[in-house]
Amino acid sequence: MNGAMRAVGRLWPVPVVVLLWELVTRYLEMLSFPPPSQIAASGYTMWLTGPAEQLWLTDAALENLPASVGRLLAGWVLAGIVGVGLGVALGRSPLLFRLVDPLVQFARAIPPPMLLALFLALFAIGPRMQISFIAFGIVWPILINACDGARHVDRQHLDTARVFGLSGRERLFRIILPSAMPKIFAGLRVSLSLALILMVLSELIGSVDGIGFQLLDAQRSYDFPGVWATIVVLGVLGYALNSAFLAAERRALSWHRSAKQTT
Amino acid sequence: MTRRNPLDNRLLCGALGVAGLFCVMEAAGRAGLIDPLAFPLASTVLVRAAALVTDGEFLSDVASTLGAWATGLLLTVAIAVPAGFLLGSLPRVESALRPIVEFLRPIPSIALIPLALAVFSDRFDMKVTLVVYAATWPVLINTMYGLKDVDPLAKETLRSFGFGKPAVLWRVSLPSTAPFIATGVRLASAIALIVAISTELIGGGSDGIGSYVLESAGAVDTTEYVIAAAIWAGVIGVVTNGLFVLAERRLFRWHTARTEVV
Amino acid sequence: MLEITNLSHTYGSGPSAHNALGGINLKVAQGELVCVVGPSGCGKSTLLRSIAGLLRPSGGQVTLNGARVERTPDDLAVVFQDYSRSLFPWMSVADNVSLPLRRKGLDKQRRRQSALEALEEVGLRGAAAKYPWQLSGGMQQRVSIARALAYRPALLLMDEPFGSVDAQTREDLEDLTLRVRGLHNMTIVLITHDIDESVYVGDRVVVLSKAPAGIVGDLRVDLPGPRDQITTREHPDFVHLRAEVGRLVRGMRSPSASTT
Repeated sequence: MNGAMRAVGRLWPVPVVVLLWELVTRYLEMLSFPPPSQIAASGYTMWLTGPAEQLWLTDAALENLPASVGRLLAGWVLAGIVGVGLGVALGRSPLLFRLVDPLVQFARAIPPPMLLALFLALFAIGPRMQISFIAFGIVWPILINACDGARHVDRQHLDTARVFGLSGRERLFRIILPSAMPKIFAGLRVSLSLALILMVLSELIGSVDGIGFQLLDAQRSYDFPGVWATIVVLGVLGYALNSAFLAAERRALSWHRSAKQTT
Repeated sequence: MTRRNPLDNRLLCGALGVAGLFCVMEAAGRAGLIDPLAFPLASTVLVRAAALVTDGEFLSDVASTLGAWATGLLLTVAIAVPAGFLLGSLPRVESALRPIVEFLRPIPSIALIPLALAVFSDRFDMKVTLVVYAATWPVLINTMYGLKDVDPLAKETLRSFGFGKPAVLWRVSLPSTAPFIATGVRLASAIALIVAISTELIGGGSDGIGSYVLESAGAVDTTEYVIAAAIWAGVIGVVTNGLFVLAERRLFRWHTARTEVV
Repeated sequence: MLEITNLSHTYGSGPSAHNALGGINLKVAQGELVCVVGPSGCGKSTLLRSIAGLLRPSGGQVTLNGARVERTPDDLAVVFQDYSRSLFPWMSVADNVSLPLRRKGLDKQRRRQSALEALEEVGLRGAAAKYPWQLSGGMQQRVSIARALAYRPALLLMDEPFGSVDAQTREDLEDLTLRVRGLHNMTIVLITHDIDESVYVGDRVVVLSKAPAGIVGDLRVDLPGPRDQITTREHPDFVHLRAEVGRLVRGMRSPSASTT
């Protein structure tokens, strides 16, 4: 009850802004700026007017949403595995770090759209190209954070591990990885929001399905409420991904937050 | 006794790493492990990248992208920093606008390109507008965050000497927020580059590195051109980022010194 | 059981070199509790790290039960001063204690059993499921001690183990140390800068000089047992020994030069 009251107190500007937006767009009558009511109606017909056995989702929704989200998550997981693995290796080996550091710094500075052009020139259009593009484009924050975390493990943690004779494997999985975990999560979070951007980019340029493709399709047929509705869906997707990630992080790193508060 | 291992030298190791990768790629291409038609030889790419430096068309495209990038970034600072200060010093307005910001921020700015294509007739204006929209968020958020971090004691000290609100803002809040703003601008600069080139790639028809890549498509040696252009884009990324880092270190030496102690 | 011969160590080289240990010779017998005391920054920790095999000394050698220490020996445990950095915050107390037992090849249930027994010995069985950061400083150091006890080391090294806790907790932990040493016939080397503590806890007090550290005193402590915080500290022998150690630590000439 109290929480609901607080939400109302906090969120009241949203309906006010939407109402203003409705009035202004109705007054101006610009083709490319439809009123929010039209956008909502268009979104509803685009996504939610399917048969009941599909949970009222339309074919377009069922075709594009899972395709996009699947590629996004596949690229993110791939980048996570490669980034954490390579990053920890670089963090624990100073020589390897010195050898590879300039290459890493350069690779991460290449703007992703240039990479996309490169991937388009090298590979055939398709999910495999998109997933590897997303993974390559977002791996750097994970890699750099994992490297940083693995480099700065508390020396006394490592001494303790040595005194009690932990094997290399145990040191890696029980000491180094857990203490690098807060940094790794920070990298994963940056990468997740970057993954959404690259997913859209890859669908706007080299794709035959997905939310980005649907967006382009709507624009080409001058369906502006459709364009706006798709943008809103992308915003909701971004919000949902970030919230889900934060919830997972809170669970996984509860020790970290509490340990910091008490000391 | 103090024989120094040459592999302790960062610069030498880095050069070795780069040279190593180059040699491996070249050898793989020459040995036929990588089809040189699908992925050109490392030496071919290097020659092409070097040739681009004297290619007038390429240079004017680079200049065009950088122009949109710089204009967008300047406008961003001009808009986002005052906005951040305004929101930071008016907590009521801030809490009212916060949900709106929370709804707008997750929208990937790339998704606005198709809409902008329909709205703008001038490609340069469109590029700059999109850059400003995307780059505003990190600058705005960092400015507001930095303002929250200002030491209240420093403000009260100045106020106790009879200084008014504008003086406190100018002498305490602005300098101590500046490092945060700088970080925001550095993040924004990378985003600005991404948005500018993406707009060129999707929109086409204008000048810029993205358009250069589009125009080279279809030729036999497209890959070669694209890789060479990507290398230069990477160089631009490294240089701009490096300049910002350097400037931050120079200007805010006091800030890093302070945070390292704590 | 522990024999240190001519141990020396220098950090760095050239003009900035720091000579921490200057030729230390020390023998510790099975079951002894030896306190090593010395002024701050004298190289006590360097000595401990060399014994633990965490540091390769520049000269001399350490042997444990006849075997030269080159890396961390199997039957050695360390209690570090900084418990908050020695316990792993991402593991529960029981997991922290049972982690080293993996090296002993025990199965999961036996590891847990031993961990709980060790926690019982330090009076913290109830905290097994908690995380280290949910405990007070003194309790965390008890967990560290329990971890060492569960490991059943032949030699236990303690590096300023009570340096970061308040005075009352410090006394409790000193008594805990005296109690648990009787349980498992361990040899203990305890490093401290606190003169009272070294006399109260030790069978023997070894005094180090300023860096480069050398042994300037080696005194046997023959106090009537069992020791307790009030009467032992009043005992004339305690008062005398404390003054003696104090003089040695400050580099003053002792009136009854009793170096053995």
